[in-house]
Amino acid sequence: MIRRLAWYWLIPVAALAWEVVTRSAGAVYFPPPSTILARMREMAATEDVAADLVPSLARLAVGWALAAAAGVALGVLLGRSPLLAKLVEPMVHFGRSVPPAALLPVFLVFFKVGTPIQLAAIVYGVLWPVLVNSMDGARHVDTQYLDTAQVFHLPRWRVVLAAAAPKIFAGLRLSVALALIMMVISELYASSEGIGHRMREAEGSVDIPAMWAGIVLLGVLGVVLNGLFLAVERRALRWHRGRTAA
Amino acid sequence: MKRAALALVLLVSGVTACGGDGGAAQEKTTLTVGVVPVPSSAPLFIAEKNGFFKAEGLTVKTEIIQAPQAVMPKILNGSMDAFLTSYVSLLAINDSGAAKLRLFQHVQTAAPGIASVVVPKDSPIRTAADLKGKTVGVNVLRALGQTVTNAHLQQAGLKPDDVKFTAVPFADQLTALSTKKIDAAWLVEPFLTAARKDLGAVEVIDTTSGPTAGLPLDAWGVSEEWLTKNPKTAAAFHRALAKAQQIASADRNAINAVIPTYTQIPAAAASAMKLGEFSAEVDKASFQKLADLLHGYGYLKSKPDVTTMIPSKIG
Repeated sequence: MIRRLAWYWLIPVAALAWEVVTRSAGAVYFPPPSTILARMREMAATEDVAADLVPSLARLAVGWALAAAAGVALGVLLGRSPLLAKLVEPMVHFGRSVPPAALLPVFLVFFKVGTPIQLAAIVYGVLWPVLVNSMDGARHVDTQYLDTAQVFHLPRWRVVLAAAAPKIFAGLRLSVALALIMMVISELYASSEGIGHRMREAEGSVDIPAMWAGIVLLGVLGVVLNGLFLAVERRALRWHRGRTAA
Repeated sequence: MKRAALALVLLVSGVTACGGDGGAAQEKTTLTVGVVPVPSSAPLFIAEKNGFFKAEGLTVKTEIIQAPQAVMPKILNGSMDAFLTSYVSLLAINDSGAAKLRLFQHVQTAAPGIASVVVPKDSPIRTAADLKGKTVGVNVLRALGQTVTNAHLQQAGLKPDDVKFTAVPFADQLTALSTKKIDAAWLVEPFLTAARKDLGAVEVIDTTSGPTAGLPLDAWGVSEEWLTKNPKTAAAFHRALAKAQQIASADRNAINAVIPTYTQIPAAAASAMKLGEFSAEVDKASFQKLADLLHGYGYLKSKPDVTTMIPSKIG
């Protein structure tokens, strides 16, 4: 454990370099991390941080869960049905090529300003990597597995899901990072609370340290979410890791 | 008659440009000016069209910007000499300590009917008090729209916290109004006229009347450093802008004629839209009132004295 921690020596060094460079440059748009941290503490003390953090994280969780469920279900279905895949695949590739941020003004036609439009943006952004990866995973299931399942009277869909799991998880992991991106992008537009909303407020009043406070918070959130996801994945795919390592 | 006067101005300016003794002593003769594609930038294009810059020995290049906040690094390193700014941005930037900006030439003061909170057709919201718990779209948070709306909400007995504000670009707010996906929107001209005429939007608050009447809107700004470094250039540039400002204040057609050349606003809409007052100088009391409102809602950290932002003498 301590040996693993020792590998993180670069982090304080990078933080120190950041401090030194920004201080010597004195550029108002790039405040040193000490200023950012001080502003973060001030915000935590004087403002209702939970009022922004809770809706952001709730939308992130709900949006990601909805997209993940829909993506896996649709992806596996398309992966197992060559006919359906042939029919739908061009549209899938079209859909996933459209940058979701560009669709925000279009979403405004269908969804109410606030949580509905933010959820729509997260679901749309997250859906595609999950769907495409699940489709790929489900399509290339070893026929030996299926034959074995038939012999032992195991439900076919469970074998398919298990065989596709490593691919599905690869897609899900990508989608966690994307969900965070979509969360903040959607909040920069047409939101009335949340981290992105606070950043827009800071922008309006040219509160540069507060803008950076938001940026740093997003970075930390990204690391935490990825760590959480890896822990879940390690548990869920334990059988697979043992098998491929052997 | 007007044409003859214009010809005379052009003739005189041609003569002085040939003389050129004004230009020799200037610190710099080519200026880059940030213009926002809104009617307030019109005087600069009027000056260019009438050769006022040439007469002063200046070459003015324009760069389209959305707000000075977006080009602060350029203003700080001197690659942008002057820029159109809202008074709110000027105050916010000075308050943040990001730069020391100075009011160079006033452009537009608000008049009733040029910025309003509107609701979609058939909305149950009819008065400011009905906005309680509703979401209002503004172009920038914690800026002019939110400030003037707050002032009217307070008059109607609401607190600023009683309404939620959301940042949506003006053009997208029209979409949201037409599909009723937003409770209310704060719009300025020409979007306001478009919302009323094309979408049947209904005005709930005229935010440039009553407690917020006569607030200054936009001006040309420079950095304090630029002003001290380039006194002669500043004087020449100011003379040209002031002359154009005079034309803009007297002749609405002069503004209408240039608007389509640097904005997306078509000629018909340019002449149909309502404009504020293009006056020679800012009313200091109104400028201070705007600053006090912003500070009162917590959008500025410190209470500013606006007289420190108005140079006593340019050049």
